[in-house]
Order: sequence, then structure tokens, then C-alpha cells
Amino acid sequence: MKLLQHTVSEQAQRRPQAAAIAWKGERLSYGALEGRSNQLARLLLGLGCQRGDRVALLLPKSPLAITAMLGTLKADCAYTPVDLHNPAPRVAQILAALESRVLLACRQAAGLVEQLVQEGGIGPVRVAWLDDAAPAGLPAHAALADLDACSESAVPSQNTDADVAHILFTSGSTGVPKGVMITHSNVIHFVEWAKTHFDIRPADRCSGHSPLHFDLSTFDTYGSFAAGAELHPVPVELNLLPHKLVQFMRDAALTQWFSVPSALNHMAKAGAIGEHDFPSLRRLLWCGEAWHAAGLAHWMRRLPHVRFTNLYGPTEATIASSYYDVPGIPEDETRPVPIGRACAGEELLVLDERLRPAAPGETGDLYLRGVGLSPGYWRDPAKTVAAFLPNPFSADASDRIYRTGDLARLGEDGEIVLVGRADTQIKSRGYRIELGEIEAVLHTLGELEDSAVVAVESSGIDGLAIACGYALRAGVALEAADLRARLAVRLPAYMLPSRWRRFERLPLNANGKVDRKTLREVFAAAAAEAAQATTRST
Amino acid sequence: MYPQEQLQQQIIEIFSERFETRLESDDVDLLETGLVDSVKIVELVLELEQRFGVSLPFEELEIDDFRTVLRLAQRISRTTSGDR
Repeated sequence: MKLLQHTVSEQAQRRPQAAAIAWKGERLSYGALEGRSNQLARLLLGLGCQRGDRVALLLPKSPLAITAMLGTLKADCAYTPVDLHNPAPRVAQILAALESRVLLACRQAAGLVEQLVQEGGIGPVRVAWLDDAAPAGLPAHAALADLDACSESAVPSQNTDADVAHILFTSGSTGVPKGVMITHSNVIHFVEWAKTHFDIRPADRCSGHSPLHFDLSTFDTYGSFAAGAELHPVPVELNLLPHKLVQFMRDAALTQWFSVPSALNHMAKAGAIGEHDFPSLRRLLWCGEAWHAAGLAHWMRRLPHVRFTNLYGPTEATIASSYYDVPGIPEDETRPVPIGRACAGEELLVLDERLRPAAPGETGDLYLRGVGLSPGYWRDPAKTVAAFLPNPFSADASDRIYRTGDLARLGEDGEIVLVGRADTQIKSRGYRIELGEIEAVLHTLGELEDSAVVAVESSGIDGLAIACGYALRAGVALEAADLRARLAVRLPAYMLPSRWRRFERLPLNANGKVDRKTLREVFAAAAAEAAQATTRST
Repeated sequence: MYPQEQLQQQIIEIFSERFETRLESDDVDLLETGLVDSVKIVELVLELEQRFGVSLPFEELEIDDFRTVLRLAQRISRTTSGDR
């Protein structure tokens, strides 16, 4: 396997009838997926796509979206799955950065495309509508009939594994999302390691829980295809009701589950998991944020037949860089679950501020090195240079290390444990959020004298709640709901603060800067008070 | 038992008070817009149970019950009238 799309081509040659994707009662075979993605590649080439182009996918999670990903790769292009729940201005930023020649869309994206056109246009991009005739009044350069008319035969390719396969956008602290470039080789290295380490086989049924714009989904998709297994994308709306999610796992008889911990906690807290539930399940993997040992123990006690593994790694290092196979039910539920040791070809380095190895047990900055490291941020050399440093232990100029921003220490047992963050990035339900990006939008609001965003512990399933303290300019009458509505125009729902507090003046420290520690304490005290009031009233 | 109108009004109030969210109408798609997500749904169900004195076990709820304020109000009416 040289390129990611070969995962499907190889299965299509050997086992064309085998199911590649199971979705809402239907199955798409490897043979059909191969043919359809070839058609899609030809459609893109017919629309003028050239090697190295970036194709934006405005498609909800579906077999169609996965077909579009493969088709884009087969046209020697890179794709970016766009979250359709993002507000139009944020999507516009992403599209502007990509300078796509072609955008693939479907019915569910019509409203978003319409808004993009109204709010300043989408430039010269050509739009292909993949599920139907084009919606009236919107730009349309191809439709379903054009796709159907393309040949299903294989498309010649010039790409190498060093070429970019996808660009995934993540929260940027200055208010502009950053596009992380991921190569075929980046993903293939992880997938090959994982296929062997987790012994993924053709008989496996793997979950596709993460949204396609999340880096974790690339393991669901290509890991499953590389093994010739069956991918079961999880319909997004099931996340709302834990019992529905559990029922999905049972009905599909999944053998592998991979998600962020918040989904697992949601199911645990609702008491939805039975003793010896999911008899077919062999392994459960989590990634994206720390899972409290108590939540892990809840699952492990009920599922003694399942192997549990923590995976760790930011998008910049592709899916995961380290793993920890949990040896047994955690006895001490107050101890953090380690992120473990490096996957094959990866290296985890805990360094002090002068880039010297921190002593075992000492907290340091966590750096990553190895085969998963992204070439950098799309068209942003300044950010790339700031995050990807020359390896201080090597004379080779191409040898780089990535600064994760995570603080970590090396345990005596050789396992690495995360301690916290060196900056104000937080994780909420696996979403990586730069508090600075929220503040950047707040600072554009003329009605505010001052504002600051902090993260506070919450009792909810997300672990951290986003809280906003603000002071209004004299004479301005504005409520928190108004501010929330203004932010919602620019930021996705998961980035909106859930707690608000108006101040006459924000608390300042000795340097005249906003005192975030005090601000966090104010919100924590208010939450404790509210919790007490609830207890009294029940 | 609450009249339907009053239920809808109170649900809109919950969104305003608990989530600082103004709902423009009672047929806004709460799921498409992300106004109800896996975090808020827990808080929302608790609040509905307290305010209306009903029991809404997760295993008896359907995703579409949360689609709009209208649907939510209908779900609560069914509970309070004892007709499940």
C-alpha cells in the first residue's frame, strides 16, 4: 500500500463483494466503493482539478462523503471535510485559505452555500452537487447525472506518499483556524502499526464515531479499509441520547469502538451499559482528551471481555503518537490514566524550557517526533516554524520535533502521564478549542469595554465549561444572550461560552492584565452556589 | 396539566435563563443548529423534570422529541396526561 486509496483498491480486487461501509441498513461493497470513487475522481478532473488541488467537502458524514474523500485522493488532490454546523464566515475563512478549484456539496449544504454566496461570494470555485439536481439559484457546475456518466475504470495517478492527503482545520488562537497538512505516509504509518497492534481483521466491524473533519476519523476509515473490515459510521444525532448510541453498538455487533471519552461518559452516566454488554466487542479505544479513571473503571467492570487502550496525539502528529493498553481495572480512581509509550516510528520527548530532557518524574513540555509529524500548517510558515522546531539532538536539518503545548512527566514505569497545558487551549468533548479564538471574536464587538474567556471545571460530561466575563462600554445595554447570539454568527456551537458574567470592571492583576485565576474562582464559586441551590430545592 | 402554549413559552424561558439563548420561534431546529447537544441535553432534561414535575427517563426519549420546542412541549404533555 503506497497511497491511502489503495486500501480500498486492494480489497476491491480481492474481495469486491465484501462490505466496506454499513450505513442505515444498507451495505456498500468494496467493489462498488472503488467504482464510485473512480467516477468521482473523473468528475473532479473533468471540472479542471489538477494534481495538488484542495477540494472542499461540504458533505455530512455518510458513505457519499467517504466516497468523495477517496475520489479526491484518486484525482491526486487533497480534501478538507468541512463541518456543516460551522457558521458561514468561519467556512468562508477555510475556503479562502484553501483556494479550492472545486467544492463538493449536497442537499444538506444548500443553506450554507446560499449564505456563503450572499455574504460576499465564494469566488471562482466550481460547485458539484452530488445527490441531486443543483438547488435553484446557487452556483452549479456539475450534478448527480454528470457523476453517473463518468467511467468507473481506474484513474492513473502520479502522487507519492509524501503528498498531502488532507488538510484538517483546528482552532487557532489568533481567531483564524489553522489547516494541518497530513500526508498519505503520515496516515499509512499509523494505520499499519494499529492494524498489527490491535489485530484488525476482515471480520471486524469498526465504529466511525468521530466527525470526518476530526483527525481521529482517518483511523476509523483507513484502518478499517486497510484490514478489509466493515466500517460503521455512527449517525451524529445518536450522540444526543446515550441509550440510542448503546443500541447502535449492540445492533451493529461492533468489534471495535473508538471515540472521545465524553461519548463514553455519556453512556456510563445514563446507566446504559449492561453487564457483559456488547459480546462481540473486542477492543475499545479512546483519544482526544483525558478519560477519568472512574469512567474507565465503570466500563471495564462491565466488559471484562474487552481490551481498553488510551491513544494520545494531536492532529499535527496524525491520529495518535502513543498508546497505553490498560492492564486492569484502575484501583486508584484519582490517578490519571497514562498516555503510555510511543507507537512504532514515533518518539515522545519530555523537555525542559532549554530543550534538555527533563528528569523522570519532573514535569516538562511534551514534544513529538517521528513518522506522524505533519509537514506543517497550510500556507502559514510562521506558525509552522513556531510549532515545529529543529530536533536539538540531531544534526539533520529535516529532523523536526513538534511542540504539543501539553505538559507531561515520565513515570518510573516508563509510561508518560499528562499533567496539563502550557497555554489556554482546552479540550471539550474532543474538540480542541483555543480560548484565544473566542476572545479574538469578542474583541471585535464594539459594545464591550473588556472581556476574557476562561475554562472552569463542570460537573457535566464535557469536563470543562467555557466561561466568559465581560464589561460593557458606558451607555450600552446588552445581555449575555445578545453576546452569545453575536458570537454564534462567527463561531461553531461547541465554542460558545456556556457561562456568562457581567462585571463593572474585570479583575486585573499587578501587571494590569486580566486576572484569569480570580476570574476562574468567581465562576467556580458561582457554580458551587448554583449546585447547592439545586440540591436544596430537590 | 399545562396548556401547550404555556409549555412552549416556559421551554423558551429555560433556553433563555439556562443557556443564554434566544429562540426566534418554536420551530427552530434545535439539533441542526447545535442548540441542543450531548452536554446540554442532560441539563435540559433535568430542568424540564424539575419545572414540570415530570419524569423523563433517557431510555424512553426519542431524538426527534428534541427537534423543536413544539416537539418538546408535546412530549411533556403526553407525560403529564399519563398517556405514554
